[in-house]
Amino acid sequence: MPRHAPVFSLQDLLLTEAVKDLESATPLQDERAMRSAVAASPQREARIVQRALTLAADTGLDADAAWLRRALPSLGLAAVAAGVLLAALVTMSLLGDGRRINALAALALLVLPNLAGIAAWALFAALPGHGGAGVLGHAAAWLGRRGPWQRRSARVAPAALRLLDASRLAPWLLGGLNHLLWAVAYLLAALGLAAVLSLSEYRLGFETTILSPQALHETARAIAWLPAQLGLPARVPDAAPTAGASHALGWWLISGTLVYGALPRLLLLALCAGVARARSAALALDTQDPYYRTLINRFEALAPTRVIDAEHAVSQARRDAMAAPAGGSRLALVGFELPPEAELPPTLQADAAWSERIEGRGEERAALLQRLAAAPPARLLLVCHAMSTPDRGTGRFLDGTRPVPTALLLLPAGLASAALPRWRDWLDAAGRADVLVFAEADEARRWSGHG
Amino acid sequence: MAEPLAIAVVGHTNAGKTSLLRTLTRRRDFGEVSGRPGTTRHVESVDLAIDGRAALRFFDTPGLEDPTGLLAALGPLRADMTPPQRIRAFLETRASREDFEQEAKVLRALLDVDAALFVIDCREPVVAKFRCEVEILASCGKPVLPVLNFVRDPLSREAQWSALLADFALHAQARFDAVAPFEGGQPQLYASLQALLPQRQAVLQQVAGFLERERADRHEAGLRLIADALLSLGALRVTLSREEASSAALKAQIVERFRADVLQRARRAVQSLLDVHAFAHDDAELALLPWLDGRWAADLFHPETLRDAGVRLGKGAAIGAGIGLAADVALAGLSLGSAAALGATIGGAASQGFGTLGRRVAEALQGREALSLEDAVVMVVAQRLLVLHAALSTRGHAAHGRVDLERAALPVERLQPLLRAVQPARAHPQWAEGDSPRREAAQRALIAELRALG
Repeated sequence: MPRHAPVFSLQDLLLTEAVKDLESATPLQDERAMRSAVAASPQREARIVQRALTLAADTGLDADAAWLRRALPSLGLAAVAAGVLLAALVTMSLLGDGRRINALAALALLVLPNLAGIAAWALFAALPGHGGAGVLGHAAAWLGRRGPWQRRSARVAPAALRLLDASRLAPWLLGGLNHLLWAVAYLLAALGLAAVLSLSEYRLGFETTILSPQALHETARAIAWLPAQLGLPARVPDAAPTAGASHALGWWLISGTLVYGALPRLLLLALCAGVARARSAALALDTQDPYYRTLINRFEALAPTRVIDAEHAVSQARRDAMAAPAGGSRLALVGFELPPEAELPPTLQADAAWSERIEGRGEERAALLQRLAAAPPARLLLVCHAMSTPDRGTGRFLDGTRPVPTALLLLPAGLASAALPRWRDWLDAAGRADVLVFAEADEARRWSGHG
Repeated sequence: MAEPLAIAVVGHTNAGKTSLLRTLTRRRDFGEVSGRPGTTRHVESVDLAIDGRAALRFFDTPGLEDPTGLLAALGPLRADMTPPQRIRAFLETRASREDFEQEAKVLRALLDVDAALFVIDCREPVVAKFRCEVEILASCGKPVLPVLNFVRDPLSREAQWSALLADFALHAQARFDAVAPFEGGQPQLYASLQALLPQRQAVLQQVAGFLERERADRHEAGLRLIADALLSLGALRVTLSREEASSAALKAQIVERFRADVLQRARRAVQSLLDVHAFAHDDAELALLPWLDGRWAADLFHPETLRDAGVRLGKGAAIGAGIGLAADVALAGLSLGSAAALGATIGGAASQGFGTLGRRVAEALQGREALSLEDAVVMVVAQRLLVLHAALSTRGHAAHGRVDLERAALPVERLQPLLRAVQPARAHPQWAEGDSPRREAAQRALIAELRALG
């Protein structure tokens, strides 16, 4: 079944990563943060983020992150400013000297760098891995460590870069800035051209010395096709230099700048914004990270267990009143719930007045208790399997044997000594400290008075 | 998801009910496992949550300590009753509140749940009380999945138990080892449950998928930690000034500090591994003691350990700084000196670029010396961390036994690819601390090699 990992905002994840960096040196005091996270959500990733938000507020990280967030729009502004500058430079270089403009050369000068730039970006975005964006990110990190903003960015910038890198957001955000810059530049260049061509007279034409004018003409027409499709005035006049031709070519140049300069950049800007939005809407916590794994474990250890059917005061088992022991002087040996292959120790069997093995069925037990009550022996040695005991069934049987002095021998010898302390604890807890437990047949023999 | 699937864990005293639950929920603090019977005296529930919602709710029950007495108290099955009705009738009696209070809790829990896991210590002999127990459980009218615990124990009587269970129509059985879970034990348990509860298949599949993802995530996190530690150790480098290099006392001090630094980093890696696998690292945890008190790394700089590892690695490896230099015990495991540094550089020059070479040549010319870890040490650390990671991955959360240092480890020579992947760190002393994209790339490459080791 596919799993839908919970999604978090870039801001929340940034703080979570920044807290992780902070804790890599020394873990923070987080009792309060853990509690509030548990209260906030049953969901583990959400708890981790909530814990980080609390800790971020405690340590002032959130203020740093807010500063970084406020600083980001200024990057956009810088891109716009750079675009304005670029536009001014381009228009000035086009219209700088003289009143004659070779329209085709002007358009090429305007648009070819743009197409080359787009191709370069496409290559860059298609690159697998983190190559180009990593380099730019590092330039940003380097800058972050140096400028006057160093104090604020130091704690959040590494986390931000890592996050952008891991989520593959970086190429699209940087691409978006890049396209914004160029789109602004071309829109302004087109506007500048329109302004200059409106207010002063230029002579536009196709100039060539060695190329065929016919070929130039056809190239210009081909270029005009797309703007014309979009409804822009981009008609290429048939005849050579007239005032009308200059007028038409002026519009041709402006339309070309818009369609081949600004339009692709605007489209790519929309694409980058779309991808960046989609990617940031799918930001999830990396649950394979050792640090987050550890936090998940800590949260899970906090999950409460519920006691459903609590223990009441242990009801004292009613004890069967039994006849006081008669003056019998003999040992009774009982093999109780022993595995079939276990044998009663032969020496003890020889000592005993009588011995019996029971499998533990109800009627067997009852018959045995009856026999003990009818003719109480001086001592009763109960031989039990070390691994399966003690349990309440044996305990209840022991209660039934009172008041015959009773001891236990555990079998087999290899497992008996391990079970010994368990049995002693158990008998103490049951108030039967009078019952002795042996791991060795010889000790039991001594107790029975035969050893 | 509707109500969580309720599963009671029942069985005879000490069969390992709480241990099984600890392993299934990975909660080592759940209940209280001990050899003392009847430790659990109440019914306690714990949830297995997926994405914050309880998918399974386990009920840990007290042991059925006297099934023989209980079966007698239930009385014969009258012709006008179904077996569950007989149980309900018994729960109305006074005996169920007094003598059989504990057993009644188990029965009440059983009547409420969707299914029961019947835990059996199959080292136990099959005697009458167990036949009574099986008979009672099978008569509660709920799907019961017998879980044969300790099947791998030499004392196991699995065949006898299987036969007994089959006699009571409990044919679907799961084999498990709560203390030393084996590969596939848990998925098999859930697969058997699915067969018993076809109408709840979706949630059980979801649980199985979730557990598998968790296992994979833990594995990956462990490998990341190991890769990180190895890169740090490989990058670790101290440059001695001319004065320091010429004074034996100063040099000895620096070497001592360097070793302490190495050991501390190794210890941190062990603790993080324990954290990732949700094992506590308090001193009381005997089982993990060799890993906690540093014994696992005690012989790290032992010439014998290193000679052994070095010989195994030596052939074909690009070890410029010769293992032979380590004949000096004071420097075992370390490479010190301009010559050694230069040698290592030439060995790795192809992958490191000549900028580094230039830096080291300059260091050599200035009479400075560089102190770094030999490959053999890094690989011995790698080998032991991998052992611990593998051991913790399969270790049950109820285990009390030791995680053995001598547990089957990958032979050092198989770690050859790791050695190559660690080499880039040699050229970047700053990788011992911080993060950088190049370090991350190297770490990814190293993790890929670790994964390939299987």
